Amino acid sequence: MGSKLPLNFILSFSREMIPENGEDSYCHCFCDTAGMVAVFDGCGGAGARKHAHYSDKSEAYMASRFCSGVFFDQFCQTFPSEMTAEEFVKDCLTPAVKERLHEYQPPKEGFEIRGSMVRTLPTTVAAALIQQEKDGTQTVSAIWAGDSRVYILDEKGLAQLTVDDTSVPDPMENLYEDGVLKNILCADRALTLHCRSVRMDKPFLVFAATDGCFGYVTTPMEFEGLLLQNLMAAESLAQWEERLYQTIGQVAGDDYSLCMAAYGDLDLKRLQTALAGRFAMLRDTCLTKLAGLPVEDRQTRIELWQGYKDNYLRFMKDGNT
Amino acid sequence: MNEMNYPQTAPETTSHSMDYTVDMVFCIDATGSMEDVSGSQTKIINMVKQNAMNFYNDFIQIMHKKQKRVHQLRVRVVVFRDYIADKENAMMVTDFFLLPQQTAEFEACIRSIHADGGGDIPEDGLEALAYAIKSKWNTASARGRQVIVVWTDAGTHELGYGRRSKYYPNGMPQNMSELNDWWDGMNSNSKRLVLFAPDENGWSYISQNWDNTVHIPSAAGNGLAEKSYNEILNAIANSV
Repeated sequence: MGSKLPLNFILSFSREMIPENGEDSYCHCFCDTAGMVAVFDGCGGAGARKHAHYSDKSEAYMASRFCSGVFFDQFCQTFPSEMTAEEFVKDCLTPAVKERLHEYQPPKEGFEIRGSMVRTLPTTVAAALIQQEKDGTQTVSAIWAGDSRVYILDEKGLAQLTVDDTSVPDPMENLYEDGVLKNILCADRALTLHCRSVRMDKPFLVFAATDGCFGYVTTPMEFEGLLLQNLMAAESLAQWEERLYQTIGQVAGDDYSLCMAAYGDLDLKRLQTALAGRFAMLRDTCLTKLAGLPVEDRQTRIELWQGYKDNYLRFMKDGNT
Repeated sequence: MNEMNYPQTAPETTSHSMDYTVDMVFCIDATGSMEDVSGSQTKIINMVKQNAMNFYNDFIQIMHKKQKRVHQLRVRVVVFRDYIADKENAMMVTDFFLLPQQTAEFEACIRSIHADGGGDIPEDGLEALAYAIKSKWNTASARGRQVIVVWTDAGTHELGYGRRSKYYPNGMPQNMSELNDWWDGMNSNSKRLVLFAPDENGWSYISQNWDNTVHIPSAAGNGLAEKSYNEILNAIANSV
């Protein structure tokens, strides 16, 4: 992994629904040959227990921050390195997360709420590890547990790299069914971090997002539309970031966090040019039809999704999990 | 680079209205021991009745804070005792009350509950749970949620313990394994079980083995601090 990773810019934002009590966290870290963007969404249902000695914050609040710190530290301690993403997950992240979550011993305070729905320090994670290859290409590895996601946005449009760890893994169906999480990071269950790697040989954006970003639109197509529409209307990258923050905030009913990195020869103008055709196509095939559609019309949405999903899931055929 | 040729602005994004249809079944132990006085000098049964009347309202309010709208809420009541000791008074089961339209009827039902009987210490709570699971749930809504809440100060008899009573109903599960299957048969996205029950026979097993369960090991929630109560509401509201 000799040459330098062509990082161009990063964008990130996070919003708390309840000030000072947001359960999301995020981190990004970079070196010459690798980079990582990651988001964490503390699970408010399973991690509702609060602890007076920790500013009366919930375990969901604590867990997302604990794990964010672990991912950041492990990246900084490991890279630059020839280590693969799978090795990084197995040898560095998994034991470090386990150690960090286990060293925290919540004191017994009053009633101990228990039951199968309750977890100690539960959080999701979605991280993208980007590594420069010797041939000038980049390997993007999604590392995740739970329903936070890693996406790639390139000239072909938006694509999801992660598979939701829920009882309803189909991205469209999950918007309606709101499936139960089947795998998360926590202190009282075995840890499973999935890893999927793909090779990129053209400029791309990669980002991690919590479900507050993408879970409150009626279709995945609208999430891509939201990204592209704001990109096309932006006069600077900072303005794109601000517009995304505001637009997602108008629809989200939860904390939301997004962390993005751009690789290759991409500035705002080049990005707008590269994606103009894609946006026009998406607008004509999906967004215009969706705009006038009653919210109850799920069938039409499913039909539009059928025409969209092969491209959206194009990386699902590659790599490891 | 090519000349920029921006497409027309796309239509505004449509947001999901996070509308939920919530059905709740309250299973309330109404045996004599529930007449005991709690730490706050209130009879446990009265505390439970008050909690039952507050629970749905508190739940809606916390859902509202999380921008989750409860589009329709129905509550059903199952009052249970002991088939051997209490015969025809062992089980009282209502239809669903649609709230807030039927608030007066619902509250009148709750107020009418009085604690007596019960015989030995364990009660027929598992039969009450069986009734709750077999409720006529509203399953038409994609974001339908089914919440069962149990308040009791006692462990449970084994399923079928009261079978020798002529008042024991037909169609009950034969054993815990069959009751497990009934629970498994409910949609795991939708179902939640909240137990305000001691860490004793039946309840501790369910707490450890059934999915989507929150257990507050106590005598029907007696002594539960407001902080813990809010954590339970948060656990339920955040999980739906």
